[in-house]
Amino acid sequence: MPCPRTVLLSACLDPEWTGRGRALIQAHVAVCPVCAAELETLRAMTGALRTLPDPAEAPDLSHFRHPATAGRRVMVRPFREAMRAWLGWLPAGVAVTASLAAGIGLASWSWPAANPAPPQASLARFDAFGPVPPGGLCAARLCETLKEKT
Amino acid sequence: MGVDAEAELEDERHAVRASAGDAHAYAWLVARHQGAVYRYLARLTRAPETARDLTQDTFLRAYQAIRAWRPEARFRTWLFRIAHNLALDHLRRTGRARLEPLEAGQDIPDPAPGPDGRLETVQRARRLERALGAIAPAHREILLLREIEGMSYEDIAHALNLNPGTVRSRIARARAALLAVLKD
Repeated sequence: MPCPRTVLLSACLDPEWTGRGRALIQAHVAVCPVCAAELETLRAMTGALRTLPDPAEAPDLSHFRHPATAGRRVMVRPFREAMRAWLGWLPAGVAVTASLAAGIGLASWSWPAANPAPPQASLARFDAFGPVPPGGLCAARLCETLKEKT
Repeated sequence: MGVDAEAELEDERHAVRASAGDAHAYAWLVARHQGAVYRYLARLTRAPETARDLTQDTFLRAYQAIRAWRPEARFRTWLFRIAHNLALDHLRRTGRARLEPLEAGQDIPDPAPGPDGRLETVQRARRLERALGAIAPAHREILLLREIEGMSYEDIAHALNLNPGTVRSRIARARAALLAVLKD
């Protein structure tokens, strides 16, 4: 854990920190050689940080300079990632499509019957409400025959 | 008008034009800020390759969102906020709570012109880089924005989504932590 004294002293380096706390610490530093030395070390450290050389191998995004290509080359990575994501779902999609096709195919297939249905009896002979009475005797014809006899 | 204020005004002018669809203006902003964004990400992630990808992603995200940018937010701060969020996502995804310090001599170009001061400068830079790598990422990040990028409390608060009081105390703790590592 950092020394609380160092934390307080460090805040003195920032001009944004104003007020009573800063005034108290500055008054203390003025009479305390240990804290004054610590503050000086902190100041040297922050100064050294500001002069650190930039990391090497910075990227060159100069293709943004041309509006015709702006975004196109940069989009390569996200496009590839999107394609990879879609391709990841491909096996699942193929499996679902295949199972649906198999289901539809099985449902529409006409299987040969194992036990054929018995032939249905003709209903013609049970035609009780037909115009010709049972026995094939037509009442109209009987009437005509009777008229001829009389 | 100071140099910083003028540069900021220039940024805002180009950002306004870029948000209206001017690709040249956006290209100007990229050229201006790509070095700073990479510098921040390279030191934060300690992985140059990752930093390069994240820098590209930062500008891609900014390009996609530039129409939503409003002049109330400084463009540079807005850009660093995007970079910070991407770096945070990356750190969470990779689960690297504590990042490795740079190898001795890695990624530290030789900055001194004369032979006498060169060795000392390079050694001091290496020590500092190693110490930066040894402190917590949250401390490292705030020191990078404050000391290297020279941001104000207000800008850091906006970039890291913190309140200004937290910024002040975190900067102070980060400096103390860095000094403690350097003294070890």
